[in-house]
Amino acid sequence: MWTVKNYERPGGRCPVKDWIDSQDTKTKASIYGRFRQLENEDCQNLINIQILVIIRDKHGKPAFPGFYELRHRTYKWRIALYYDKGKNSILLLHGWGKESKGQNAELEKSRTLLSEYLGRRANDG
Amino acid sequence: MADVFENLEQELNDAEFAKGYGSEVAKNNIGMTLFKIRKCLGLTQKQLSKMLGISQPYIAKLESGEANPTIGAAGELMAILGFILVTDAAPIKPVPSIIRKPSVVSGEKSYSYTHAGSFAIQPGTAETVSQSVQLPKEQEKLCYSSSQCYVIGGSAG
Repeated sequence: MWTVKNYERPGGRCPVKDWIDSQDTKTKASIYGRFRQLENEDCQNLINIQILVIIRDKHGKPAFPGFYELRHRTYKWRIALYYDKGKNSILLLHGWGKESKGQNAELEKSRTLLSEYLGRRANDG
Repeated sequence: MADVFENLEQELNDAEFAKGYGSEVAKNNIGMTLFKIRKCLGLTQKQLSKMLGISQPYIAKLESGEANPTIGAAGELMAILGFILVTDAAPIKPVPSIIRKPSVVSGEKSYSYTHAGSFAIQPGTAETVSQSVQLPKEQEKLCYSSSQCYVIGGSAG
């Protein structure tokens, strides 16, 4: 069982929460439905049913252990997240949908947020 | 970092959202149940599609909760695989974290429970939900029902 959390940036902004709040009702419902699965299901099961995908670098290798993309094909949205196994939590980093200007740019934003979180966590000890 | 389900409680005040959320969770639960049966039987999606007479992409959509089968159709698919679909209802509001944490182990089988769900039981096992899940007394009181679990080949839900 995992605790699913919004990543909060220094200064208090939550990028995923802000993005979810801007979505229509049905899309929002599909997002929370997926969060319920994240909370309850084993990561490997979600990979097997293809709603969780490993984020890879340009060489095709996993970009970072625990760094994934949650997907919904019907509503066409994606959320980059990080399984923080040490804290038994899943951190939602960045979300995007049909309005996106490109997968690479979104993944770059996600990587930046992950680096920011990991840096802060290392400083916190 | 805020738990996302704190926001959910507020969203559920919107009836349209609640309807959509209920529908999504139901589809996801049916899909995950079907996936666990398939794994339990050691089948690929392609093998399953041949058995059920439906396309492999549709199996993928069902498992990912992105298809919307009728209850009857879901029951038919599971019956062909030797299971019956059992449904249940639970409060839509997020369950307090005290009972969202642990998983439950009963005998040789390991279960975890969610607060909304469907599950499948293989006919002829004479296994009832109350036999399958033994919740600690404190949690049993808090749970409206003890039957939100997956009972698939002994694998944890």
